[in-house]
Amino acid sequence: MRFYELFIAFRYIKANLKQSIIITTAVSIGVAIIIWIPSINLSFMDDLINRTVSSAPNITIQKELDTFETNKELFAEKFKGENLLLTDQVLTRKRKIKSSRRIIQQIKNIEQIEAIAPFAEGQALLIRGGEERGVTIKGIIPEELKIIDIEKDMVKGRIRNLTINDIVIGQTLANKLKVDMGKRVKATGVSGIPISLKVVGIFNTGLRAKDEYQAYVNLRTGQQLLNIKTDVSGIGVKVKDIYKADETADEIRTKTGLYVTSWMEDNKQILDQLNRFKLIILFINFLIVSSAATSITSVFIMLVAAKSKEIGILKSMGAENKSIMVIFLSQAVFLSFIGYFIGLLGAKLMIMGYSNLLESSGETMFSTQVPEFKINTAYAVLAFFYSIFTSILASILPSYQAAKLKPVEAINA
Amino acid sequence: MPNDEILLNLENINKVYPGAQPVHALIDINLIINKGEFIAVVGPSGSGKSTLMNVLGLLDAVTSGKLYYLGQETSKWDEKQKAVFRNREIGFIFQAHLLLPEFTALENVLMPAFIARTINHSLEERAKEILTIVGLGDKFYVKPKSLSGGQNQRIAIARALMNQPSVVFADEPTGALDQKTGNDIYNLFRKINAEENMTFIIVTHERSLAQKADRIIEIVDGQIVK
Ligand SMILES: Nc1ncnc2c1ncn2[C@@H]1O[C@H](COP(=O)(O)OP(=O)(O)OP(=O)(O)O)[C@@H](O)[C@H]1O
Ligand SMILES: [Mg+2]
Repeated sequence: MRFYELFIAFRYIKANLKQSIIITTAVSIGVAIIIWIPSINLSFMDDLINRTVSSAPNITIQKELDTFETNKELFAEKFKGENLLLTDQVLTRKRKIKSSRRIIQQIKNIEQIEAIAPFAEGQALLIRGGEERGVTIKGIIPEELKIIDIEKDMVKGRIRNLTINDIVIGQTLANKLKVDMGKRVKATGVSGIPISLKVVGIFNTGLRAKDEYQAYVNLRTGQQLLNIKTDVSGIGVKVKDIYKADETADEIRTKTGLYVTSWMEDNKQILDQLNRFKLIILFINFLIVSSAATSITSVFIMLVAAKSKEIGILKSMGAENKSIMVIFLSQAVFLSFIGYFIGLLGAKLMIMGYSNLLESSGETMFSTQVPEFKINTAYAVLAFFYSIFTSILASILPSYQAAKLKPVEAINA
Repeated sequence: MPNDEILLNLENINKVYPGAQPVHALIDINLIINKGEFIAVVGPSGSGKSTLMNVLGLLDAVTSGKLYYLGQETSKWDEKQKAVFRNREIGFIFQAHLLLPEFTALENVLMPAFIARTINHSLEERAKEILTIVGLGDKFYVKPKSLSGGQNQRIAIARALMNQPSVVFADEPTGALDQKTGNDIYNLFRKINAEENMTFIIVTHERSLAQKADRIIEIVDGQIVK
């Protein structure tokens, strides 16, 4: 028999079923948690990032906020005690780009850029019957839909081909205003002149901030409400690789000399927080791995102690040290292999369970929709190597001790 | 100087078990054992018989002195060489049977061949044949714990013969057997000894069995007295 060590190892696994089960369980619990925790948390993070990225342009070009920046204190003084909305209105008026066509020509050849769309965004009041709500109104062109995928969130009607008399609002806002498709609302912006608009679409993003406070209109309507004629308040840009947004923003800044921000800068705190969180997850994983390793080691020490006589017998028949080592190590590797797959299955079940729990309880911290939880592949792969590596590490010392036993001593033990 | 007939040569072998009260178990042993000899080792309890067998079987290191196998000095061998030599050239039958409890009688007998990594389809046939000779023709697939002490000792004997070693060390192999079975085993050893020129060194308490050997070595207090 060429690999008699494996023959013996498998027999021992079968004969010492109790120990085998303990080791397998230790590994599978470790693996399940190692995969489960990051999968849940990273799904949340991915979801958060996806929502963040998809709720605003990757990059936004605005005019330098000179007026506002230099007159900040003056503004603050002037509007002391008044609400933020007013300050925002002032801000809106100052944030204007006159020659959006020229700027688009300037940057459209940048390699990373996928889509460009000017917009007119500012505060407005929507009135319907006795209800009124302050909202952020955004005047868009069809190209906008390439930059922010609003269409996927549409629950009723359309967002394409908005005429100057159309408006699209969020579900929550629609409920609050008690309007539905085809109904009209009155919009008043900085211009002060009310415009009657027809609700042609309703969306539900799951992000509370959007569903309650965002409305879309035709760019021309937006410009009219904000009283900015043919100017725009900004230009949105979509890039090919969202994690290159910072670099691309730099490029646009140098080309145009305008005030450019990327989603990464805007959400720097969230991104930093997430990275810190990933570190904590790694640390937790390390703790789990160590505790699993400890229990595996102790089981193996017992196993080797219980088997020392047989080790002596095998040696008296000419089994070499390395064969004894292989007999014990291969048990560890095989059991952790089994443990890994049980753990993977466990992680999957736990993720499903958690997802169901959240769904039944309704809402989460950031949104009204439960994110789609997936097994995190990177951690699943990591857990595989963890489990094999840990069990080898945990059993190598006892196995080595077994191999080093002197035949006579082992037999007499 | 190397004589083709000499299997084992012991020069001034001493074995001391260290400890709070060290035991000098073997004292200045000088001994030559030829190929094909059939030797009985006798002596009172605690005289050092098992110690001598362990040393000869390369299971235990000597404290001083030289042990030659086929003219080669064994203290220079590393663990691996000793293991290979034990596997190919030595069959060991212990005082207690020392079988592997997780394996069947047949598997226990086959184990030395497995360890040798022999791939030969007639192996199993040979193992069954030996088991049949020692009277266990109907116990191939039974595990040791379902068998009597005498039956287990016979499995251990079959196992020692499996790899056709050049020497078999047996430490009171028939102590646990009834007189008739003990005699049969003894006759079997003699038969194999005659047919295959296999060397046998057997520790026994029974004078009647010792009388059947070519030579009797008597040990008292760690020294060969005869
Ligand atoms: N591992 C050991 N450590 C310390 N002393 C030992 C050890 N093994 C044997 N001895 C001692 O060495 C001496 C020889 O023991 P050994 O087992 O060789 O005797 P024996 O002739 O085989 O006896 P028996 O007939 O009872 O089997 C005894 O005094 C024994 O106590
Ligand atoms: Mg003894």
